[in-house]
Amino acid sequence: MDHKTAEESMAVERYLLDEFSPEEKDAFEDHFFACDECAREIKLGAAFMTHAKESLKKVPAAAPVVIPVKQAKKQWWSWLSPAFAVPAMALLLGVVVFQNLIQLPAMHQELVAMNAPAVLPSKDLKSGGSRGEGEEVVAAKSGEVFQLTIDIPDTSNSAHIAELQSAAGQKLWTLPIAAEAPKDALALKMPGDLPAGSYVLVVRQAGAGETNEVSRYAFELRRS
Amino acid sequence: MEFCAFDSAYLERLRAGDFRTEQHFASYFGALIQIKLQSRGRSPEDIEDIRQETFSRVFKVLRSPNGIREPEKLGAFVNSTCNYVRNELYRTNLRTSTLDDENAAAEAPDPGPDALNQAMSSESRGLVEMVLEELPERDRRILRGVLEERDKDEVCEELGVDRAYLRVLQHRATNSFKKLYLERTSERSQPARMTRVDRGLSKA
Repeated sequence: MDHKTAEESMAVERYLLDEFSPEEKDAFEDHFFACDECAREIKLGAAFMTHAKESLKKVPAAAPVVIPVKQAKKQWWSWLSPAFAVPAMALLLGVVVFQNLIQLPAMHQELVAMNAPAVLPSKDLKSGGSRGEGEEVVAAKSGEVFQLTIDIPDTSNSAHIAELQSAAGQKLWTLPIAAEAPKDALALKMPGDLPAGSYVLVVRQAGAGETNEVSRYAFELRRS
Repeated sequence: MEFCAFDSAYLERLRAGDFRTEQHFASYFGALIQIKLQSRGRSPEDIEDIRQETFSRVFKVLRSPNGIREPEKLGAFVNSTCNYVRNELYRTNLRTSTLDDENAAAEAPDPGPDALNQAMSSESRGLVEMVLEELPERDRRILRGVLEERDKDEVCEELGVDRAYLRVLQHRATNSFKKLYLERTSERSQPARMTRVDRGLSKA
């Protein structure tokens, strides 16, 4: 073996790692006994291996480190994790924006409107609406409250109940009327969310069941 | 570990029995013989016997009238003599015949119980540790596997490398060690050489 072949084939490393066949070993030994450069490489390599063996023996082998995949313990603040917190915050922000820009101003406007002096649409039903003698027409704006004026033709000193029915006879709501309330020209505030349509307002004595009807007023609500 | 070129002057000094040259010879070839025989699984006792016998025979030839005259053949001659002695020991178990020849052994310079270890100073051990520290953990584990004389294929498979990588790793680590070693030895030899030059100049 010549020096060039030895270098190219990494003969020193092969020799030290015991990768040569006996014949190859003999050939390389012939070479490095006569080649100062390879002899030096062999000596340094062998010296390194001998010392490295001693040194590595001193240090216990590091066991293969298995890095456990951390099972994140659920903490009370885990909902603050970005996966959850970011969409939640976005939703919250949307709600806040909606409330501040749309809902609250609208409510504020309604409140202002409610507290402001205004002329209410009103209808006096006492004159001819009772007992189905005809249907009065009440005109009010959409969402606007309105007033109905009725008489309670009952001389007894009892309380009454006003019941609003749809045209089909379905009870929509009832309103208690105290005994002390005036019997003549009693003003009733009607809700602004009552849709347009035909209604019947029935007044009965309180606690007397459905049979003791005192008066009945039919009206048609028209919204504009 | 000393390195020097073999030339005619070196051979002459050996023939003349120059103590320092004999020591260098014993150290230089003693280490090579040890590496060679260790790689063949020889016991320390066998290695020592073979080395002593090899040196004895080489010196006999070297000092004979028709001995070695070409310095470049010295290494090859030491190696072939070592092979011969080794085979002889293997075939005929010469421990009690030739190797007990005290006269022959006495003539050969004794490189000590472990030529390789002797050649390596505690400083070089420190350098090896430095090199090892610089290696990545995986490379250290590969080296450990190799040095513990485990099956190399098994080591390679376990650490996901191939045999070529072992050679490269060995080469890289040895080169790092060599670089550090040569840096240290040149640092040490530099002031000494300058002193000699200075002395020569002052004489002139």
